[in-house]
Amino acid sequence: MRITKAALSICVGAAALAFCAQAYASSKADAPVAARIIERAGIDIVSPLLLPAVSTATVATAGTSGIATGTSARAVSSGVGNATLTIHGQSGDAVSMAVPETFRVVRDGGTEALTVKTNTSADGGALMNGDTMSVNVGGNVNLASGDGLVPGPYNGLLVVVVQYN
Amino acid sequence: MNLRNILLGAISVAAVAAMADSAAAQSTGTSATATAPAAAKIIQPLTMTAVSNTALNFGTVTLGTTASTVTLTAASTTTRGKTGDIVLVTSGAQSSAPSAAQFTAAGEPSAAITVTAADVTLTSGSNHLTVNPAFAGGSNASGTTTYVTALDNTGSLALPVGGTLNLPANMVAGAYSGTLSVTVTYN
Repeated sequence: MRITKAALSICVGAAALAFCAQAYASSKADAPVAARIIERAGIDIVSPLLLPAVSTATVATAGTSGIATGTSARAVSSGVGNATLTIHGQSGDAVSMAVPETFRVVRDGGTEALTVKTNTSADGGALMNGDTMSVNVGGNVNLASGDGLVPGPYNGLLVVVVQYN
Repeated sequence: MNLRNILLGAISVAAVAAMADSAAAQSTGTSATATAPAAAKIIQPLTMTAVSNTALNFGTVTLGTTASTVTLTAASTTTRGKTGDIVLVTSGAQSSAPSAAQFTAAGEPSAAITVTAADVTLTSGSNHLTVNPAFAGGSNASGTTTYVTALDNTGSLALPVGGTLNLPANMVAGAYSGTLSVTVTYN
């Protein structure tokens, strides 16, 4: 059976019309999707702040107006050191660190307290040069701040806060 | 009139009659005519458009150590939630405002439609995450979310798209991106 050109044209036209009809019965659009995962900001304590044990003695000094007494002190222990902290964060991001200027240590089993003045290698803000950063925190004790310098171990809590800027 | 002529005439008449009968049968057996009603309806073409400058953005989270998820509700103002030990970052230079993608379907008023969206793969380098899209209704099965609904009486429908971002326990930090495709079809 021979198919005439006219008949073939009609068939092609009908197929095109069907395709167009399907295109107008359905439609699609796109939108972007995004998410970001960053390193958690945190602090690991590698080593605590250890202050030296101090031996104290009463000293009597004879002066022109009589005998005056005072207290002398000297460190007697070794193995002391600064607190070493490892800061975790996202490389390239800025973090800020807050270290208190002073904190209190209290005698175990008692109420006598000493004031520790801190010093640190990275106070304020810093830029993470990698996923971790090491920070030292040292301190010194003003014995004159003590209440009668009662012998015994003294302990306290140094609180350091790190956060992304 | 002799008998021969009569017979010839009868034969002729019979032949003519036979031919006539044959002609009547052909005219009614080779063609036929019937009638049936015909109808057509012209409807509006269906379109789907992404609202400009909107994205499905899950924002920033911190690394976790357990399998976790981040969810965004399908709403014009989305709500972000999470499962697992990740932390949602809400402030600072690393954060970005979470958002649902916004689309608009338009076509024949009150027409029934089906909206579909396949799961999306987000990529950061060689690392991949999977997003299950979510509409205001419908469900996700076999990697595709399907929502059967209808255009309103003006022929329009706003389609916010949220979803669930799946984070494996061994997730890797990075900026992930992908493309969400949403298709609408007349039922």
